[in-house]
Amino acid sequence: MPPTSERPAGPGDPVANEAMDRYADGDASAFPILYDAIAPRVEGLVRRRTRDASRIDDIVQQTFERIHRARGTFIRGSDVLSWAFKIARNLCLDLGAQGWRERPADGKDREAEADPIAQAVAEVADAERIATARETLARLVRAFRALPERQQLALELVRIEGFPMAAAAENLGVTLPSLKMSVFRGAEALRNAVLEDANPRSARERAAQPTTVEKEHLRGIT
Amino acid sequence: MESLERRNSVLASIAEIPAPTRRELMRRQAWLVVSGVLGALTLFWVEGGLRATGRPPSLVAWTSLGTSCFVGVGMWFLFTRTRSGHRRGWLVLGLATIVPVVAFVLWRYGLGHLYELASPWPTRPGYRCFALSVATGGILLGALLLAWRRVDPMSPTATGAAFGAGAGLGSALLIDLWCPVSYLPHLLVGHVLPIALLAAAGAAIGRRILRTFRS
Repeated sequence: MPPTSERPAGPGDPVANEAMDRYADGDASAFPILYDAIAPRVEGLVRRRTRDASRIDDIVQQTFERIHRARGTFIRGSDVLSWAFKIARNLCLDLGAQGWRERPADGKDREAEADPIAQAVAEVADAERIATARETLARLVRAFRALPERQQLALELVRIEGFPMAAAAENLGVTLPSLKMSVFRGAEALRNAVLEDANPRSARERAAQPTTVEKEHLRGIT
Repeated sequence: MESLERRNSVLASIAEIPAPTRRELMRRQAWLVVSGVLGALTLFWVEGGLRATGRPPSLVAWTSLGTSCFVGVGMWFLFTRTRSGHRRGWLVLGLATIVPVVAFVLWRYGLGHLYELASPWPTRPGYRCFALSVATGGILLGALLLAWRRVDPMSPTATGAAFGAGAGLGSALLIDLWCPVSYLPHLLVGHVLPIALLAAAGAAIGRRILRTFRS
């Protein structure tokens, strides 16, 4: 089994953070542990920003090289995944790997296959449900691509990667209310886009009534 | 590339790239920063050091005390990072520079006015203060940039700007002890402009030398 197939680290993962701490202190044996813990998450982030396989590998490799170079500056006890994400995202920007617009038209199926949601759906033996789920996923992906960059980044960190709001805001260099607003607006836009395609009338009705989670976000903002 | 293949490639690659550990980096930074501070202080003392030049000692003490507080707060925000290890955002860095500078000018001008020493002083437009500020701040900035060279993988431009602004604030503290003039245009040219200049220089140079490069 390849080492990267183990369960990847999430934000605040103690194994990854401890490995980075040891590595920053000069313990070379900690680097493979760190790599195995965060590489799948870094790759996932980069994959969402570009489709060019050679670029993905290059960016992931460069991210780890930069982590290595800057290991002495890692603050003890801070979150290495947040650090790695910011480096990877900057690299994507530096290398012009903003892939949403660069994706080939035939990349839709490969994208769905690579997505964990699509993989989970594929395990269901009901062909009709698979087809419906694929359609929904495709609508979701289209809507996500149409979101402003700021909302994409906010949703990516909070909803996909599971970062706490405060950590995500710090990572993106925005204020907490601003991030909450981006997440709320992004999620609302996604929900409306998906429902609009499926049932235009119900989407309009639903859009008028925020969910409990969204009410919570709004309460946090106001 | 398969994940195992990439893993081996990354491991092989980093084995060839030199990277300082925490202790090595701290030693390098401490040595360079102390040298920079001593260099700036030496230049300050060579140029005359603390000069009252007709100012009452109480005015010197009050202005220096206030300036130290403003500069200290600004430097703390400029030089430290967040708990996640990220450099603070541009908005915070901007506020951490502008607020202490405005406070310093108001404090200095206000106290000068109180002691009736803020009257126009046409023969002192502020060029000497400007030169000394840039020189002392430049030494500090150079030391900071060298100390952190090639170890900022995320925001080298912001780090460079923060270092420049911090060095400028530090030099403003020294020049405050040296310069008796509280005339507003003089303060702007001789004491504030160097901070902006050093921040811009820090951003431009930091972008080039603080970032980590691929070998």
